[in-house]
Amino acid sequence: MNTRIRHVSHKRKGLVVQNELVIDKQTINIGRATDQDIFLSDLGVAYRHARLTLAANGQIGVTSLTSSGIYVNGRFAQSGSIKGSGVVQVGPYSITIERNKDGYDYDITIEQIAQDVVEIQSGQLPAMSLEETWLSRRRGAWVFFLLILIAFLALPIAGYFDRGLGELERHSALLPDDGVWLSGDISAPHKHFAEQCDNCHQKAFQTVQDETCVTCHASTTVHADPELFDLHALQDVRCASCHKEHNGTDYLIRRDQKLCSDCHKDLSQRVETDLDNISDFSGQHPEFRPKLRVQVSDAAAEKPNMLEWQRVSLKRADIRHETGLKFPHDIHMDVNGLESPTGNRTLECSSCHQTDASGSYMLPLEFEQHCQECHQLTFDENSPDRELPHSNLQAMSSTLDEYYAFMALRGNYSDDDASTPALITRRRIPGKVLTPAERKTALAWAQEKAADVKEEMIEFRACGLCHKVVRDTAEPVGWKVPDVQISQRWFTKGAFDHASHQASECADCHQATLSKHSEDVLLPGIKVCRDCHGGQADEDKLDSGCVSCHVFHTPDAVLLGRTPDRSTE
Amino acid sequence: MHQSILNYRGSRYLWWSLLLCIGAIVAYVIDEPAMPPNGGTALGYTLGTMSALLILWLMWFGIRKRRYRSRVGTVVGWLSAHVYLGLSLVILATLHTGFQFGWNVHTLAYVLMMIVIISGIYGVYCYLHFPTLMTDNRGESAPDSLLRQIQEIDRQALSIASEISDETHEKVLNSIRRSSAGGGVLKILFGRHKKSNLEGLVKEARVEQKSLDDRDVDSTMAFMASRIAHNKEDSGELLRQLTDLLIGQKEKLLSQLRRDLQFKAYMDLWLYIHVPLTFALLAALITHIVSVFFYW
Repeated sequence: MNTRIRHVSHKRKGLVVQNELVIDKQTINIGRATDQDIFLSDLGVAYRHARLTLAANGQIGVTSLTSSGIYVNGRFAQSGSIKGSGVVQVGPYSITIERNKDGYDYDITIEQIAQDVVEIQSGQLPAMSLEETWLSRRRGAWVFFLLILIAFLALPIAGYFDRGLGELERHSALLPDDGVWLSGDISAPHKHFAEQCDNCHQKAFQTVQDETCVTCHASTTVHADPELFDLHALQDVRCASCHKEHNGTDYLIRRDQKLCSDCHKDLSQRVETDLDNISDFSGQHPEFRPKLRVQVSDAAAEKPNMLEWQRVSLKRADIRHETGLKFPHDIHMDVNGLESPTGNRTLECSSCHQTDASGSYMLPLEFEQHCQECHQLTFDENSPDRELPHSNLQAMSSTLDEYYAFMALRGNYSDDDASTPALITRRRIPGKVLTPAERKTALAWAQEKAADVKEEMIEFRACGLCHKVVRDTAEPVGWKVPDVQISQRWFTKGAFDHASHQASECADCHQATLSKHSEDVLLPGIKVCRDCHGGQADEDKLDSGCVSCHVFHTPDAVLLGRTPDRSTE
Repeated sequence: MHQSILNYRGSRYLWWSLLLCIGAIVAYVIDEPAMPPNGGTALGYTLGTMSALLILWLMWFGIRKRRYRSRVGTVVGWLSAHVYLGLSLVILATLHTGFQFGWNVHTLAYVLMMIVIISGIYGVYCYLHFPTLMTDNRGESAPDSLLRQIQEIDRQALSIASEISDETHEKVLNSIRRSSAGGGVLKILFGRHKKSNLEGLVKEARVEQKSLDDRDVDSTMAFMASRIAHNKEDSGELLRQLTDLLIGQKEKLLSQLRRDLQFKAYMDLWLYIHVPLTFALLAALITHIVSVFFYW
């Protein structure tokens, strides 16, 4: 092979050839020995270090003759091969082999690339610190940064704007959807539709709007009449101001005192109102005002003794509730008992006052159930089991008319009254018909008798005993029995629940045994409640915030779905 | 007393940080939000804003420490503040959460922050612990000078070997090529290398050739010993010099160098968690803030 071997060096002025030699050999020896074809003087080279075998087809065999090896095209090796051209490194020398150059079969260029073999090795030092290894803080930072931003921010946002993608994300086990943003447990009532965040969060970067809530809660009532009080103007009141989602079930409804006292502690300075300022149950809270039927003495009124429903404070000494009854609790609750058709009976509160199935409220009292056992409506000794109908004066009147007419026509009516015609008291021969004259006498007696008994029953023995009956000629029967008004719910603005007070005795709150009149109001005042219930600051009493008794959404107020400002919004 | 990042200026940032934490705890205790404590109450927003700004400021340290010409405090002062105020985040951010945790991006941000802080605590330990060990290990020499000493020994050994014989020269040349320090992550961290103290400082051969993987050190030593025995007359003295260089001096230097690299790597390793996870935290923080207001 016609081969040119040149020792060169790179200088500022360019490539400088120090030594040139042309040989025609197939095997070229490399080493520190002087007889070598390529003579390399550095100590890092062995005497006979390596051998090149040049073939005509361009295949170059490279063999190291020493165990310290060589680098073939940058790779450490004991032997290798080069096709056409390549670089072999021996010690601090780089040997470049090129084929078919400048008319030679092979052109070999040798250049010393380092001071010595030690320098070469130090130039190829491995990583000495973590910074020089594949570990990279910068790369790690970028990877994590982008990964989190794409997975947890970009994808859910994209899913919000592209519903199709959003659906795909929701149903995919791998793609994160906006559920990863869920900051806390959804309250139980809202859980069934909460999977889709935009059911409530309808517009990006906008708070949940009241209209969204009213979509379902149209029949919830407002707090105050929006025509009279503009709550939105008074304070920033959104549904979500109080109903904070994503805090679990327990906290969807605010129960703290501030909910109310923020406005109500100085309400009179905020708006024109007849409501009292209230800040705390144990401190600033007015006496209870049950709803009572009271007599209005309005001189200008057409009826001077008109009855009207009013909320009256329990602290008023003249407090009365016009029930329309005459009922003394003290007599009925006599500890020695009462004479009754079934013997001596001692009544307890529960003999008459019973709660509904929930235990919360008292059932209405019924004459037939609670009174009639003692207060029987019998009217004639001839028929001791027969009673008059209750709560219907006309039916009662007709019953008496019919009864005595029948007795008069039948005869054999036993009566102590000497003036009673013999025709009435006498036994009749069966089948014998009365003469017209006799019939006239008998029915005249019957009419008179019925009227007497009616008056006696209504005024004294039956109705009048309990009811405040009034003689009124305008009425068909001639009397009027006023309506009985016993409240089922005395406190219309606050909730009281007997069920949660079962541990207490009735008498703890209601002083019934001392009451002589049915007009007496036997409701306990706030002082009695305060024995157990305290405000939020009281540590030794039951913490009773406003919502323990009151509700924000006023029961009888306008519905949220019907407020004018909402329907136009 | 030596001024470290912990007692910089009478630990002034420790007191700042404590003040911040106590203030936050007191506020949390006396605060009576209408809802259960969470990031969305007035105090929650306040603590959250403070924590987020603090995180950005703590990240700024990565920039400040490279600004050699900056006159805004000293780097030691900044690091001291970085450590103490970074620790205060544990309190501030935990109170910001209101102890509400879940499988969501918000808790992800919190967890990443805690990992960053814990790695930082380990970093402080490293900075206080390893420099002493490193000084003990390499004495007066700087790490670079260890390397230069080893190279010098290699040159001398090569020169001596070439005077002895071609065979010895080959052995020494081999040992130069094959002795190693550093290398991959695991090699740096665990400092495990072949018994190659005699092989000179050279990159571990990337191509492991069986023919070369010969009884390395032991064989080299045996070879030397036999040479000494057989050539007492002519090259005995040279061989003794060679073994003294390679066994007596180089071995010690090489093991010092490896220990040094190991300590340095231990000292740096935590940063490979601290820094990337800080940026993960930044992404989670951005996600946390944007998502909270996206679905306000």
